[in-house]
Amino acid sequence: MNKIFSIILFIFSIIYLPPYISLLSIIFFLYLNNRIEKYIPIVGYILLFIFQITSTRVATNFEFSGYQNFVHQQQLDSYPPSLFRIGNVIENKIASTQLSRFQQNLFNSLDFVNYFKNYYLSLLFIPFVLGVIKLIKKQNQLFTKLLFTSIVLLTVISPDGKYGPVLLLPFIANIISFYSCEK
Amino acid sequence: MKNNILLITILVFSFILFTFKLSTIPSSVYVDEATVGYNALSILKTGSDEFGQKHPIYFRFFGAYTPGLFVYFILPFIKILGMSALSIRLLSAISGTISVLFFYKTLKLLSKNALVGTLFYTILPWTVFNSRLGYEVMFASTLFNIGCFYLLKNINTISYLGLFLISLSTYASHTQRYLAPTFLISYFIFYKKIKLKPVVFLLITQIPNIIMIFTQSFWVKNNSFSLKYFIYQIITYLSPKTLFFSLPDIDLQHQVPQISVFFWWMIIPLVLGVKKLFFININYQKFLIIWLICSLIPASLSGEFISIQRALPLLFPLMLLIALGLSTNLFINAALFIYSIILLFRSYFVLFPKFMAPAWNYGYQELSQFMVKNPDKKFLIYNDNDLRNYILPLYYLQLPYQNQLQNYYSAPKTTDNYSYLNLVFKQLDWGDNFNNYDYVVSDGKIISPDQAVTHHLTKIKTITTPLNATVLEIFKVGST
Repeated sequence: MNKIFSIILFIFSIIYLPPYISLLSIIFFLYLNNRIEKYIPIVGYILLFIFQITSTRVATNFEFSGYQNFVHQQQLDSYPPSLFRIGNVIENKIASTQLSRFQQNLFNSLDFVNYFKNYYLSLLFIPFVLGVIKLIKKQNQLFTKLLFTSIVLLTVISPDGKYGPVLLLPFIANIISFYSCEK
Repeated sequence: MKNNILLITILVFSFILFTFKLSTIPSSVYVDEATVGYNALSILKTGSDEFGQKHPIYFRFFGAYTPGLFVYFILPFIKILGMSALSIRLLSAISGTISVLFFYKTLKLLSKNALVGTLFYTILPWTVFNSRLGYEVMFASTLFNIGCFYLLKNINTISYLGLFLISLSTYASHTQRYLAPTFLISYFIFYKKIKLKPVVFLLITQIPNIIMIFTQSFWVKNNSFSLKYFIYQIITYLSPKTLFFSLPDIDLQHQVPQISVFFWWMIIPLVLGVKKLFFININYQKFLIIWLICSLIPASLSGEFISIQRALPLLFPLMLLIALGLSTNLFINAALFIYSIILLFRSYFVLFPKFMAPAWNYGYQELSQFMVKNPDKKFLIYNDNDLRNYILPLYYLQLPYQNQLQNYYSAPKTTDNYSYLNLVFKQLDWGDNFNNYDYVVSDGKIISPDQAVTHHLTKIKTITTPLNATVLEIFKVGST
């Protein structure tokens, strides 16, 4: 019964995905249900990994607009004169604009709102949360490692590529069916 | 003994953190704080609020009918210290400090090492921000959280003190009025504690609220339920981006620049905390899960708008979860503490008072001083940016004012126009006859230089924020 429910949830979660993402999601799903060998999802993941990098203009991640530079200057000017040197260290090193950009990439990638925009998809949020808890409780080594790699990559290159954070979509689709999944 | 000394040190540190420059950070008194302060003063002086209602249970504040416990609790502060930002905000700072103590006590039930988690709870942007506000949110939240502590501590029996405090919190804030019944019903069901005695006890403590159910004032915050918005709200509040990076709150007054409600790195201990949750006592585990889920409900029922303030009940249980996942390594914790305190100092104590000044009704103190210097002049003050700005001169100048209202609890409709003494507050209308006034004040740049010339208005004063953003402009009428 659990298995059937898991499959229904999984199908529901991949309906809205582009075909190539659905394919990789299915590969992961089959792997997690012991239907295929480990190397197949790895090969599929590498292809998607390359696709994510090539569809993202990484250079924009290190460019800042005139307005951002203006705000940065205003932030520097906000420190009282007695704290100017400390302010300089904080604004340029500890909380620099570049570090903030990486944080922005990380949390834009992990923003649930982006993945559950559609009303019907939003109904999958509860199984998703339960799936995340199951993933935390009982990790699948390969799945977790690849998920972690995706998050790190998107943090560095930004999720704002031509097709968005596609590298995370197969994981989200599978996590939704996770809590009723065996492995 | 060593633990007690460290705990006292943390409490002293938290009180200093919550009261440091409390009069000037936030940079000015916000309308919600001003209305609390002014109505408290009015109660002290006359026994009635600004609408002439004797000792109200709910205060009409801009049509919100806010449960009034906070107002009554700040009366001694205003009596002793006089009306000021400090006297209005001090109760929140004390509530914040007490919440630190009870965070420690609650965490101690779940984990052996509670001090590190308590220290991080103290310096959280969410804790610090709300512990420095001149209105009810931290006070109500603390009452509710202490109640939860007593219920958790006496998980095998029933704590009447816990029930009483949770019930009391419903007289302090709208949020707790939704949260308390949701939480208590879940608690009674999941712990199979539906018995006559506690139910009767709760009903007795709720008599004032039960009486108010039959008035419109009880229902003003009731939005029509929409499953779509309810789910979207839950997704938004639980999104790591909201919790750890930036707030989607439409109200700028709730925002602190470059930081969200938790520090960004806390996403890692949160994941680890979820894992550890399954290793603690099953009764405590169940309690924490109920607490977390119920905490989300009041905020998620608020329609399409995201208000992080309504999600404040989430702070305590979510931080308990994060605290469970914190490292036990002293060096890592020391490094994270220093890093976090730098981020807090930067965002809250340096950037916030300057960048967020316009959202905090900056400039009305200076305007009020200008009014004092021109006591016989008539002012037309436009309120296009904030319809509630009429309260600010009342607060700053402590002017006598009572707008007598019939059927106090059944009149939620507010007006956009106010007038008292020689001041008129309304929205901009070019049909206004400016010759009836001596000065016209615009909140923000809503009158262009050309319009000023056309209508014979001469700008005589511009009030700006520390970052030179124009917040108020004063025009003299009839001169060139």
